[in-house]
Amino acid sequence: MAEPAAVVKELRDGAFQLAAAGDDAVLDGLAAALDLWRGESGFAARAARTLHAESGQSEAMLRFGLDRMVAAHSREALKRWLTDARVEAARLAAARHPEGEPPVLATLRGPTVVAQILAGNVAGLAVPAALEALLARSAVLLKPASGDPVTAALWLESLRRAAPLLAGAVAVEPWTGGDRKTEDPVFESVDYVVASGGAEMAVSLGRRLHTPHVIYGPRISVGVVGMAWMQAPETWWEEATREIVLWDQAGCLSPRILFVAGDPRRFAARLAEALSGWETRWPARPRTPEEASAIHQFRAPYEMAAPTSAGCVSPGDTTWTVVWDEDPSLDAGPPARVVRVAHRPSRRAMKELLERNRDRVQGVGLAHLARNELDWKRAAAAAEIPWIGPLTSIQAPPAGWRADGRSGLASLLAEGVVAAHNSP
Amino acid sequence: MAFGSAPERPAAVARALRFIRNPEADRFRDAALEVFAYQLERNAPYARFCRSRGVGGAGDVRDWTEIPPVPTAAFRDPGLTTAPGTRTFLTSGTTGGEARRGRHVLPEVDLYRASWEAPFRRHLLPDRPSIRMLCLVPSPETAPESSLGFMMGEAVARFGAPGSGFFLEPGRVRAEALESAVASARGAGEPVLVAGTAHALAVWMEARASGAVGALPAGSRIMDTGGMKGRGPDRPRDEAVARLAAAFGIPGTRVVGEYGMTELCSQFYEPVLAEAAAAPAGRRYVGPPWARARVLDPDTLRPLPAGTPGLLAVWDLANAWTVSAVVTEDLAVEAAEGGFRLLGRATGAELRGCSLATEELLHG
Repeated sequence: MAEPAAVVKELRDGAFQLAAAGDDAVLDGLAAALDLWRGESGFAARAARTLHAESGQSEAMLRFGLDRMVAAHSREALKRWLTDARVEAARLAAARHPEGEPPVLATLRGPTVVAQILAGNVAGLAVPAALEALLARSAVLLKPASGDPVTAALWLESLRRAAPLLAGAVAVEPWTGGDRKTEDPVFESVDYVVASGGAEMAVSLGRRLHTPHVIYGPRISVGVVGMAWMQAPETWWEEATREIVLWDQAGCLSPRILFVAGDPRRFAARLAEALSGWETRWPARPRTPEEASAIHQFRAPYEMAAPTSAGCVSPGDTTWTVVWDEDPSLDAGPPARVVRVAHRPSRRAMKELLERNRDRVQGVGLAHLARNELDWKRAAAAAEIPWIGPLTSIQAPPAGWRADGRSGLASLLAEGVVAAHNSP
Repeated sequence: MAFGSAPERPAAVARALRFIRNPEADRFRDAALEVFAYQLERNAPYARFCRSRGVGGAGDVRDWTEIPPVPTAAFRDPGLTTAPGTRTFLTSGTTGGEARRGRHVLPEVDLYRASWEAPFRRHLLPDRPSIRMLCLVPSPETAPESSLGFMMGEAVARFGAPGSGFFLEPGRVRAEALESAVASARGAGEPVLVAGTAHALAVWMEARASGAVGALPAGSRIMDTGGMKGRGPDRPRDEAVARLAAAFGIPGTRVVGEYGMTELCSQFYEPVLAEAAAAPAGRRYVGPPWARARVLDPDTLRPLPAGTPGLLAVWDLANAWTVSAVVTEDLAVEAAEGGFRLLGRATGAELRGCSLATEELLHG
C-alpha cells in the first residue's frame, strides 16, 4: 500500500471537509453514488461480472446479492439509520459518561479516521462499511479481502463520480493481512478499527490493537420451520433455498441447519429438489480440494446411517448436499451449500440450545410457525440472537444491521462523543 | 480398547492374509473383489454407503478400482466392522470430543501383524537384520489405542537390538535419555533407527539445537511419519528432509518417510533406502503388493490421470476385517514411476465463511 501515514493524513483532511457537511448533502451524495450501482450498466453489474470472472461464483447470484444490498440502502433507509443511530449513540455516551452534557444529536460525529478490515465471504461488504463511516462523518480506510478485491474500488469510483466530497474521505488500500510492517502503522495512525474475522483473528488482533476497535467473529445461522411446510407453495421452497445458496452459503446469515417440525427426511428430499433447481440458475462456484474433501467427510456418516435414523441427498458431485437426522445440535457441515435438516426440538429446548451457543449463532430464520411465530421470536430474542427474521429473507437485514446486532454507526458516533469528552 | 476372543477367520479374510504372506500366489484384483463381497455382506454401514454410491451388490463391481472408498470420517462409527472387535485403534484427534475420534475396530490383529513387517524391513532395514530403535512414538503400554505405537512395539520386538526403547511420554520428549542412547550407540559403533512423528522429531531437534550434541552414528536412519497435525507448520517434503538430515548429521537419503494412518493396516514408505542403488527419481511413497493407491478427483471421487493432484485413496487388503477402500484427506499426485507424492492436507475448508477473514488478516 501507499505510505500509511500519508494515506491517513489525506483522510484526516477529507474528514475535516466532511465534518462541516450537513445531513442532506451527505445523504444526497450517498444516494447518488448508490444510484450508479443500479441497472444493467451500473456498478453492481460490473462488480458481479468481474467477481464471477475472478472467483467462479455465479454472476446472477452476485448480481442478486449486490442489487439487494443497494436496494436496502435507499436515501430514506440511510436517513432512518442515521436518526436511530444518533439516539442510540447518545444513550451509549450517557451510559459511559453520565456526568456529561447530553449531546446535540445532529452534531454527533464519529472518530476522525476509521479503518475497516473487510471479510471476503460476502461480496460488497465495502459498501455498508463505508456508508457507516461516512454517515458518522468519519473518513474511512477500507482494506478489501482477497475474496472480494473488486467492490471497494468500484464503490470509491462511484463516490468520486457522484459525491467528490465524500470520496475525499475514503481510501481503498489492499495489503497482506498479518504484515505487521504495513498493518501496525495503519492501526496506530487511525482512530478506530472495525474488523471482521474468525476467533483466532479476534484474539490476535484484540491483543495487538491499542486503538479503539470492534471485531466481529465467525458465526452460523439456522432456520426453525413449522409443520405447515408440508403445504408450502413452490415459491416458498424457491425463496428458502435461495437464502441458502446466496453467497454460496459463506455468509454468517446463510442458513446451515434447519430445525423442522414433522418428518425431516421428507423435508430433506423436498429441499434437495429445490437446491438442485438453483444449481442450474446459480451454479455453485468450483470447490477447492479442501472444501470437496470436507464435504465428502461430512456426508460419510449420513451415507452409512440406517435409513430410519439419518440420510444424505446429493448429486454425484459436491455442488450441494442435504443431510438429515434427529440430532438437536448445532453441528453444521462445511459452508458450501451443505444443509443439515434436523428434527425440531421443543421451543424450550431450542431456546436453551441457542442460549448455550449464543456466541456461535448469528441469525435465526423462522417459517411456517403460524400462531406460534411470536413465541419463537421471543425465544430467540431471549437467547440474544443478533438477527431474527423470515427464513425466506434471512440474508436481507435492514440497512445498518451489524454482525453483533448492535448499531455500528451508533458505536462510531458514541466513540466520537467519548473522544471529545476525553480530549483536553 | 476392548479385548475378547478372536472370531473364526472368514474365507475372504483368510485369503487376504494369504495374499499378504505370499503376494506372488494370487491376483490383487481377485482377492480385492472377494474381500469386497465379504465386507458388503457383513459390514452393514459400509453396505449402506455403497448403496448410496450406486453399488448394491458385489456384482456391480468388476475391478478393485470400482470399489467405493469411504472417507476416513466413516471410521467414527464403531459399527464399521465385519465382526465384533477385540482390538480398537483410535485416531489421535480430539477436536470435538471422543465421538469425533476415528476408531478402527479389529476382531484380531493377525493381518496387521502380517502387513507391517515386510515393508518395514524392506524400507528401513534393507542392509541389516536388526538395529537399535529409538522410538519417538507412544509405547504400546502407554497408548494401547495407538496403531503407530502398536506397530513400533512389534517392530522393536522383531528387529530391535539391545538399547531400543520408547522415548515419548505424555507431553514430553525425553531428549536427555535420547542423547544418552545415541552416545551409547556411538560408543558401540552401532547405527540407530530414530522413528517418530514430525512433531516429536521437531521437539527433539529443538532440544538438540540448544545443546552440544553430535551426529547420529554412521549408518543411522530416520523414519518420520510426517504431518504436524496442526502443531506447527507443515513444510515441503524436501525442506523437512533437509532439516532432519542437518539436525541429526545423516544424509537425506537416510530419512525415510512413512505414510500410514489408524484407518489403514498397511503402510507406505519412501523407497530411498530400499532403492539406494537406483537413480533418485524424486521422493515418493510406495506401498506393498496388497495395498494400492489412487488419486481421485476431489469433487467426484473418480480416478485422475497420473500427474493430476487430487485426494489420495487406498485399497488395502490388510483392512479385510473392516473396509478396504479408504479415501483420505491428503492431497497427492500419482508419480509416473509408481507410488504417489504427498502435497499436503486437504483440511481447513471451515476457514471459509465468516472466518475467512481470519486468514485474510493473518496471512493475506
